[in-house]
Amino acid sequence: MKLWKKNIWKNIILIVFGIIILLPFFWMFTTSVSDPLKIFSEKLRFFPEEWRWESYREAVSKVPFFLFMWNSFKIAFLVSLGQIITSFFAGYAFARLKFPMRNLIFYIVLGTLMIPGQVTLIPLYSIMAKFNLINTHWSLIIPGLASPFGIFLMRQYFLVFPTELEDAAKIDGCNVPKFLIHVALPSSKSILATLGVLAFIGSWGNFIGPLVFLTDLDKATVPLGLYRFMGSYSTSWPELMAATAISIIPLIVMYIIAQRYIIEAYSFAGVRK
Amino acid sequence: MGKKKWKKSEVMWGYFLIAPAISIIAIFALVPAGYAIYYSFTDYSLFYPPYFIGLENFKELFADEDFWQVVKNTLFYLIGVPVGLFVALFLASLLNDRTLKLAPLYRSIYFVPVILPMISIGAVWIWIFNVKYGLMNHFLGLLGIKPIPWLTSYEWSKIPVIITGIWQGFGGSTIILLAGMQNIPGEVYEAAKLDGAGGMKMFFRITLPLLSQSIVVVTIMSAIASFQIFDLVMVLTGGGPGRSSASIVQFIYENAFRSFEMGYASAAAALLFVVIFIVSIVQLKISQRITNY
Repeated sequence: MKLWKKNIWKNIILIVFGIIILLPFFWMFTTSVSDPLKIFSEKLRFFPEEWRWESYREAVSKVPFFLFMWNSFKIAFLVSLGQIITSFFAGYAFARLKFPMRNLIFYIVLGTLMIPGQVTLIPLYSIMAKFNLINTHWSLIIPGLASPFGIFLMRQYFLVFPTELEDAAKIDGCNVPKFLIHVALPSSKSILATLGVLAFIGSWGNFIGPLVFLTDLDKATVPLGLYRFMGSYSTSWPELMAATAISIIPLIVMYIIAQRYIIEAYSFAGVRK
Repeated sequence: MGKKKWKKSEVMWGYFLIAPAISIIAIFALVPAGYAIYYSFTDYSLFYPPYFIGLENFKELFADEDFWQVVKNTLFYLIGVPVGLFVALFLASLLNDRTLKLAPLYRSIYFVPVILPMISIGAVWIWIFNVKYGLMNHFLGLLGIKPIPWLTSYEWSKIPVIITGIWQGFGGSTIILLAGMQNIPGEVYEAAKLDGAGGMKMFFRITLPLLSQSIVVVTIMSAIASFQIFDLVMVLTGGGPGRSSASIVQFIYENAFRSFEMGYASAAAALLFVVIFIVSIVQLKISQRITNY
């Protein structure tokens, strides 16, 4: 009884914070289905008188929103795939194989975690210009194919990977690539999925990269497209809210599916960083 | 027999397996970092090759009022760090309770904004902060407070950025702190209970000290994110009105890619790099001291 009473207060406070998080999304949705003229009233309306889906159609017809989504998806998919492969290999090598200068190289990689992306942006721009990659998606994909965080994550994983499996493989005369593909890969599926999801989210949300590297509107990613949509068209609030809702739907779906992995990876990143 | 074969090939495979990752990181992070430092000592505008000018850029920066303005603004944004930490500590201590059935649900909800693009979040909040029809002023009106020109006045323009930033980030900090709290062995609390310690006392005497590692991590991570603030400012205020909400990264972006003063922008970037580097080292040192006590 006492416990229940104590928890009621806890629950109330926690629900209030839940509302603080959810209310902006709710209001975004309400506005997106409201009449553009009726939102300008002094009275606050949480439910529109009638639902009007026009704004969604207008938003996607004014700017190619589905194209932005495709662009973002393509870039984010290739980046996560690249990070999964490069981190899996490098993480294993740094954790389990002995070779000269291994630790030195690893610490240099770890050190690059401290370099803020904005610092390298200017030289990166000159590099991309030299390779004629400005205004192409490659300028965003190629630098994202490896990440120090991914290497770190996979190295931690392989440091505690059971040695028995490796020993058995060695005795069987298995070589390194065979071991990696037949033994290590199947048992690392969930950590690799986690890494992939994190890379995907990071790439999808990236704004300054596309802002600097992509000039054509057709090449824009979702955040850049949304930003341009806000700036250069006579956008109404319902249209902007509809566009914003569209921009977050893929991530919300992904979150619902992979939530456990995402949260776990995040607490890992925090605790071990 | 097999073991020997494995040993021999270890060195070769080691280098082979790290090669893809290392070449990407070297070409697109390490080399550019070196160039960024070099550019900061040059006059460079992309159309002409960089021309070495020594410390000129830095001298000019320190005399640049606009630069001091964005530095001041960026430091002001740090206010969000302790506020966010406080909110997260409060929520994590509420959630750290086995009898709380809905704890995982709350945790999942708080985390939603962490995964979303800042631009999308900013788009929603720019509407919330609308002076006439926005949700924020509607609510304040209920309390009898007059509408506040959040995004359009010099005095207020930094506040929406801070509020939105805290809203976006507290769920992430809560999860890190909660993970830290759950690592504290239950016996410690049992022992304290036997000694007659109350809830408050246990929080300050046991939870906080044993949580210091996670608190350091959260503080430093959000401080670094705060130094790098850009997306939110660009959507919410565009740095205005005037330069009242512009951040250091915005200064770098505008100088480099609008005025093509890439050497000058690199000097500002190099200073930002140094600050973030120092902050990271401080974190490392504090963490080491905590784990070694």
